[in-house]
Amino acid sequence: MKGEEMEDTKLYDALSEVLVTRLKVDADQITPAADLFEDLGLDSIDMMTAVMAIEEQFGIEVSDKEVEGVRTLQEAVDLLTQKVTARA
Amino acid sequence: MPESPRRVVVTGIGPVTPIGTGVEDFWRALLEGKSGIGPLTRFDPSEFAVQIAGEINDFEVDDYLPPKRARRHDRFSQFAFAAGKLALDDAGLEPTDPDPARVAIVIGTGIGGIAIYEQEHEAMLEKGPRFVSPELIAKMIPNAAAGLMAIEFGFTGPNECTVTACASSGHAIARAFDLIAGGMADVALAGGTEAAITPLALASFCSARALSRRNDDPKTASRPFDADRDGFVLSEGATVLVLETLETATARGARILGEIVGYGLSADAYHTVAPHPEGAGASAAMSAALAKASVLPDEVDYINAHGTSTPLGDVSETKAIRKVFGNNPPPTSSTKSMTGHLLGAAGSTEVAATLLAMRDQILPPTINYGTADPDCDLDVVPNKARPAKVEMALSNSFGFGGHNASILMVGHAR
Repeated sequence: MKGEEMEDTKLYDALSEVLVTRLKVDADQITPAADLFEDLGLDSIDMMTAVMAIEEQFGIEVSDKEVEGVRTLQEAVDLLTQKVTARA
Repeated sequence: MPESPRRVVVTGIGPVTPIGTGVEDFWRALLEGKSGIGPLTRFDPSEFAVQIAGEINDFEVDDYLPPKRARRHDRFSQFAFAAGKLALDDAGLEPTDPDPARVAIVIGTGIGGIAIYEQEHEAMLEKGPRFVSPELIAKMIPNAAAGLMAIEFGFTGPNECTVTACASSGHAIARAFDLIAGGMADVALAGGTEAAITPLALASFCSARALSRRNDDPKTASRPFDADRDGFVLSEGATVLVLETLETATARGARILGEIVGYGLSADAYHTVAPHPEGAGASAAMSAALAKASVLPDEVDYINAHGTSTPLGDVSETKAIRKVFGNNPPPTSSTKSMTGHLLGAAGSTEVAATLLAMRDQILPPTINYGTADPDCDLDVVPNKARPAKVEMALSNSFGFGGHNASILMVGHAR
């Protein structure tokens, strides 16, 4: 597994964990293609809460503007992976 | 000619308390003289002078709300929602039954979401402002409980929050009474909630020397009117009542638990924390309640006292009762001897106890009563529930800041 793929899996797992434990999303609903708003029922406050948890865990900083276009779980993971890789 | 005011009855009770959740558990515990006080387990209290509290350790918010929605709310709002749900069930009322625009919600709280406040303040100090939850303000504001209930039940009538410390839910019931009597609503969910068993709140009450330090014997710590009392016990919970017009209750064939016939509100205008030494504000509130209903003191069969078990407060309330009721005051018990002090939820919890006393014609006791205090010379219904004729009764609530509320009610039989 290449570095970025490993990060990708790590971020996917971490974000899923936040969705389930902090935001009480049903674990069965979590898939890479799931729409965070339509399928998982998040709102903008939930998004901020989730991003904040990942920022803290991985020591990164994501701007509101970067989060704006994100719709699916995989898009969120891609954005966060990019941030973590850039930091390394 | 002015229309005669609409009569306001109680058709449902929803208690969530340290001695029981739901009407029958709550009432049975009061009649059995069961204490809800135990060692404090919510956090490590080893550095605190007080290590006991009235916790509700079997509360599962998921029993009332889906986890995804429940997590958006502090414990005090969750308690209120659960109590509201129980009250509606007890009243035999589905949220879809009444016209939602005609249902008011008035929920008092003394402190609001102090748990989330402390948690996020710590996050800011430890990690920085970027890590403070966007939900903090929405969760901590005292009106969050009433807002949550409207969102979940869909009631769109007047929606308010009363904040008068330990008189908060007395004021909530008074306000709901006015909304219904004045024609602004036909039904109201009214009551109070509190979830302040937190390090910061406990520390402050400890510093104020307000709490009992009977750590070695928690069940006897709350001993209102007893000569050896040494402070109140911090408890948590909520009680919500369903109030409605006599007309709507009768029309739907509802069981009527009692009628609110008056209330009195006043201020001590004396001190933030200490009660007026002669109980001036308290007696004014009780007198105003009687005057509002045009009844004489000797018509009152029972008083559910504020009776917190503090050295000063119980003496002041005794003086106030004697001022209003003279040499022959009615039996006066403090159910805080069992529940501890639910702060903003105390008033509605005790109105509930008073209504049940009238329903079953039996007075709940003041437990832990051992040694008479000559300055608290009342018939406190010591230690054991007592059958009695109870047609009219008063429930007192007094709060830090010098706020007083006294609610007068009659049993349905009247």
